[in-house]
Amino acid sequence: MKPYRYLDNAFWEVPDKSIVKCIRIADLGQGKTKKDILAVRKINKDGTPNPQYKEIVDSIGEAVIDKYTQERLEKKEREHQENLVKHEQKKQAAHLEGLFGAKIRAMEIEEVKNTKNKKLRSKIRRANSELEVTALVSLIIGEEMGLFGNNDE
Amino acid sequence: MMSKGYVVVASTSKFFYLSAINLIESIRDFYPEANITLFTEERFLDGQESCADKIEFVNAHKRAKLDGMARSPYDQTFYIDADCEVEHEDIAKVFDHLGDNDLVFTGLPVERHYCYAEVYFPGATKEDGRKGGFELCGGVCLYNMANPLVKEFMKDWYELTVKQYDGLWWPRKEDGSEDLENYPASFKRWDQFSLWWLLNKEPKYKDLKVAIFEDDARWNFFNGYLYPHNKEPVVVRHYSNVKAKREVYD
Repeated sequence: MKPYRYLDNAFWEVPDKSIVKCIRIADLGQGKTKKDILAVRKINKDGTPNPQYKEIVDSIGEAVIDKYTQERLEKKEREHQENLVKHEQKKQAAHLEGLFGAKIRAMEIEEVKNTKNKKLRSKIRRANSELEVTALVSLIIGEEMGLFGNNDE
Repeated sequence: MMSKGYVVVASTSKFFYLSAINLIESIRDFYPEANITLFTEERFLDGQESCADKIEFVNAHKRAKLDGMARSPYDQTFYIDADCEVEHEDIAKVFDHLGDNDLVFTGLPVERHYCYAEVYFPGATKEDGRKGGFELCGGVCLYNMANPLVKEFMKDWYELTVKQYDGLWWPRKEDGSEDLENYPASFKRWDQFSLWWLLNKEPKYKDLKVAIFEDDARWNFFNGYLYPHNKEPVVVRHYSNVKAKREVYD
């Protein structure tokens, strides 16, 4: 019996199956083992077939490697999509958090607190950026200062 | 005819008062005729509170929200944490979700556990041996105050939580000492625990019909969620961890 074995979760590193990647567990005796991650080429640099490649593929089976390669690709794609969603969600949360803070701070400004202009106050709540909040606050302050003529709602 | 209205509570910090005003106005953006009662402290009033129909006072207590919830003037009440904002017109239809339930909460399903420091605890272990813990989130709550048992429950929840926060109540072992193995001390400053206790250990409330909103994430969408757990658009967004709360108003 060989002093090592290959785990079933091997996969093709490249679509043309010229490199197989797998884990080899070597038995060191006395209950100890050693784990190696191997990337093995089908053809050696000198153009001769690599016997280790054949040994791995024969041992695990080409169909098993195909299946795991496919599963791994799908898993990677799922993870990639999930990370994209997570990244977008984090970005949006940070943006909304900043915006919420700006809106709350705006409500402490005397002119905003006292304005009768419900339309502008409502616009602050629906603002899409902190800059927009600042601009709307400026309008309210300007209005309260009588800069725009009539003070009607 | 059943009265229906929204309850918002803001105490202990100006941040919560201003957030509550923002929340109330955001409800009105979508539902101008809504009945809204604001429970707050007199010291915070600055004229902006006129956006609410009624103003009631509460003490400066971290869990004053439970006092406000217990004193709701509406038969059907939708309580919303002050640090939330409404962003969808479905807020007007929330009462349709009560059905024949007494209390409707949002949930803490496994896929959202990453948001919470602790969920499971030994005292909540299920009869079949599976681990158990908190399953309800108290950020929003739709409840039927027309049922006297719900009224009593709300009052008990507040009173038990005050005792818990004051160190005057905790589950006991047979020898009379605090049962900290089954009920970790880290829950002592959490009204979630008193809620769990009353609904799971208090026989008086075993018949209360408690449910979780359908597509519940949209009714209490934590801004820190890493995934869009909702199916339909968010109705209530919860800013429970905004920097403004910590930096400016603490």
